[in-house]
Amino acid sequence: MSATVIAQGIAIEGELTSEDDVEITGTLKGRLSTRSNVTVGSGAVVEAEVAGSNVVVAGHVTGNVTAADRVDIQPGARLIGDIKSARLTIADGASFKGNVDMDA
Amino acid sequence: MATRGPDAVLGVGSKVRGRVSGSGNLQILGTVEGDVSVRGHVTVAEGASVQGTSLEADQLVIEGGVDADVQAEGDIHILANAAVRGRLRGASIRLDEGASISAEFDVAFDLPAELLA
Repeated sequence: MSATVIAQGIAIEGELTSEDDVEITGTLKGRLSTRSNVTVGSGAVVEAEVAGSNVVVAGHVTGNVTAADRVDIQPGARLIGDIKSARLTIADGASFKGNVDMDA
Repeated sequence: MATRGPDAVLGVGSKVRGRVSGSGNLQILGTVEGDVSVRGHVTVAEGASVQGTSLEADQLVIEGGVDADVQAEGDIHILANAAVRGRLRGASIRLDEGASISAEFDVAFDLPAELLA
């Protein structure tokens, strides 16, 4: 098992599944699913359904986010989509449009 | 060239169904079902696999399984435990003993001096 890094300049169109942490500073369009943690770095462009354990968003995400543990939307992030997670933080300076379901 | 920033990594146990593109170095340790087209250095590690129509990069190192037409601007290095099926096209192709290849080679090369006499 090892982490997956979608670095700046790299784009994936399709479905990415992982058993381990996934860090994105590049582009992902489609679907992302991992049992572990997802970090969407600043500068990243994600147009995908995202599912993980901890999901940290510092970049741009368009798509629904489902987290087994928590979602953390950081300053400067932009998230358009619905969140399903028992725990959620939205930092000052982040933008979010969508519905939240904490009834996990 | 594509030496900026950290490498992209598709980790062990990861799987992509779709297309991987862009510029930068890429290490594939998991599975790709689809095409890869990357400006940079791409490594298909031992245990990894790429199954698609095409695998394109500036430089390629293959230690795992590839079932695709492989094209590199520069060199293709196929290591001992690799298994490659498809067409191979590159500026040069280096093949280590032990690799399993079922491929058409499309590469310009210079004959050794002793064969030119």
